[in-house]
This record gives sequence, structure tokens and C-alpha cells, in this order.
Amino acid sequence: MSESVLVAIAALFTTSCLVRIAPTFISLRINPSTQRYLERLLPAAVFINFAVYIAYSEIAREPAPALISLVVVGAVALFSLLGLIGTAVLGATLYFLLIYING
Amino acid sequence: MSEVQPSAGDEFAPPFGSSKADTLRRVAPAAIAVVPVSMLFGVLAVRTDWSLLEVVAISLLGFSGSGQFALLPLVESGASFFTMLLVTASINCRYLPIAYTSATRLPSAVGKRACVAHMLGDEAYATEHERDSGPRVCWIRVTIFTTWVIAGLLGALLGQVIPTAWLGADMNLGYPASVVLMYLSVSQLRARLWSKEQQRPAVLAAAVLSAGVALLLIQLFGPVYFWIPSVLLATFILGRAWS
Repeated sequence: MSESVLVAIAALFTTSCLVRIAPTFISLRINPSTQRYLERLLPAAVFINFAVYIAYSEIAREPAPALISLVVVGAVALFSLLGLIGTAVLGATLYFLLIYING
Repeated sequence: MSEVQPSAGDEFAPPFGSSKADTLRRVAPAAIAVVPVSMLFGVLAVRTDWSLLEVVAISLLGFSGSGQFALLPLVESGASFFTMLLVTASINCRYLPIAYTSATRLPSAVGKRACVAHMLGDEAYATEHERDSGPRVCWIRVTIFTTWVIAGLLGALLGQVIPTAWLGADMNLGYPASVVLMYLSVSQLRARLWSKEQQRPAVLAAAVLSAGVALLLIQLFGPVYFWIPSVLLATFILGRAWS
């Protein structure tokens, strides 16, 4: 196994221990403010950064196809027009089609 | 695992039979739903030089749809353990209350309890009900978990079979994973931030500001080291708008 993949597996397993296994063994007393940050705001901050990171990485590679495709994907997700797989197919097809058209 | 609204504890759920066959019939739709997602992960992982063993290992030990997809680009960029942990823990922290509230349905033996807790997913939680026995909860979780792992392996095998020439040397094979992540991110943001109608303008402004800060920090620190300061700043900005 490559070191980078091992680190990824360790991170994900540690996450599972923290968020799925540990709570079944210990009694958690979380105040409402902390609970709000844990459950809603911290993940939301991560997802905003995800969206920016993805857009930054992909637009740097293929500006117009990535921008158009990701805007469509974002709109589909925002308005719940399609499921995950349907959107993945739509977004990827649009991206590769635009690259093909651009030559 | 895709995001679904939990329905555990539903007192008005329809009655179910008690046999294993009944349980399997009940869990089958959820198990089938995870197959294409896990297969997609397997294909993409193999295409970015992951081995079959690595795909199976992360499916077994990680068991997280959005978490696994999130790690694909982070592995490629050589992100640190703590960056990956922060990202995956943030993605999966919704399991904290879910795991806590479903703990009463788990077996009491420590090892078995830990294993079944690890197999908790959105689909399993949505399939379970408050009155389910420990063995039934085990069956539900093991079925979805096993399906996830096998589908990931099948996807990885499929990814190896597809000739590279079909795809082209310059093709951006990681793009579908980016699409999946963008979809999951927007869906999560909508679910987490869009619920309070009267606060939408403030929350939207905070989200846009957070995105701008993230872009600035990517320029300053690069796409690997911007994560932690950017996530902390975004949390602070969102917290000010939310209160």
C-alpha cells in the first residue's frame, strides 16, 4: 500500500472510531452551543471549502467546461432536480462534451 | 453513503416480519442504492493508481461514501493525516448524534457492539426502527456494509478492465469524483444552512464571504495548507451569521 493511501485509511478509520463507535460506549453531555457547531456550522464550513477547492482545481485545468459543468451540478443539487448518480452522469458528460467541442 | 433523513424511532412504521428473509427484503432497496456509488468509487480509485487491496481496505475500515470520495483528491495532493481527519470527521460528524441515539439497539458485547456501530450508515439508520432487536439491526447493517465493500471491489475490477486507450491519456479521470463531491457539498449546505428562512440573506452572505476567504487562503497557502485556517474562519463567519 502507498503511504498516502494508508494515511487516508487511518484518517477515515479514526473518524469512524470517533463519530460512530465512541458515542455508543460513552455518555455525551454536549451543551447546545457546542452541539450546534459540531452538527451544523463546522460541517457547513468544510463543505463551503470543498466547493471552492473543487471549483479552483477543476477550473484551473479546463476553465470553461469545468465552470459550466459545476454550475449546472450545483444548481441541480440546490434544487434537488436529480439524484447523486444522475447528476454525476450529467455533470461528467457535459464536461467531456464541452472539452470535445472546444477541441 | 448518501444523505438521507433518518426515520429511526418511528412509532408508526408498518409492521415487519421477524425472519431473516423479511429483514433482507426490507433492507434490499437501501443496499441496492449504495451499489453504484461504491462502484464509482472503486473505478475512480483504481484509475488514480489505488490497488484492489487499498479499495477493499478503505471500504472496510472507512465505510463512508462522501468521506472516501473526499479523500481521493486529498491523497493525490499529499495532504497530511490531520487535514484528512478534519475533513472526514467534519463530513461524518453527523453520525455522533445518530450513533448515540441508536446505541440502545446494539449488542452489549464490546467487540460486537463496536463492529455494528462501525457499520452505521445513513441508509441503515433510515431502515432501522426503534423496536428492532439487536440481531435485526446487525442484519441490516451487515447487509448494507457487505454490499458496499463488494460493490467497491467490483468497481475497482471494472476500472482495471477498461482499457486506458478508451479513455485517452489526457482525460481528467478524477472529474466525476469532483462532480460527486460538488453535489454532496451543495446538498449538505442546503440541508444545514437553508432551514431558517428569515436568516437566509445573512447566511448566504456569510457563505459567500467564507468562499471568498477560502479562495484567498488557497492563493496564500496553496491547496493543501489552506484547509484548517479556512475551515475555522468559515465556521466563525457562519456562527456570527447564524446567531
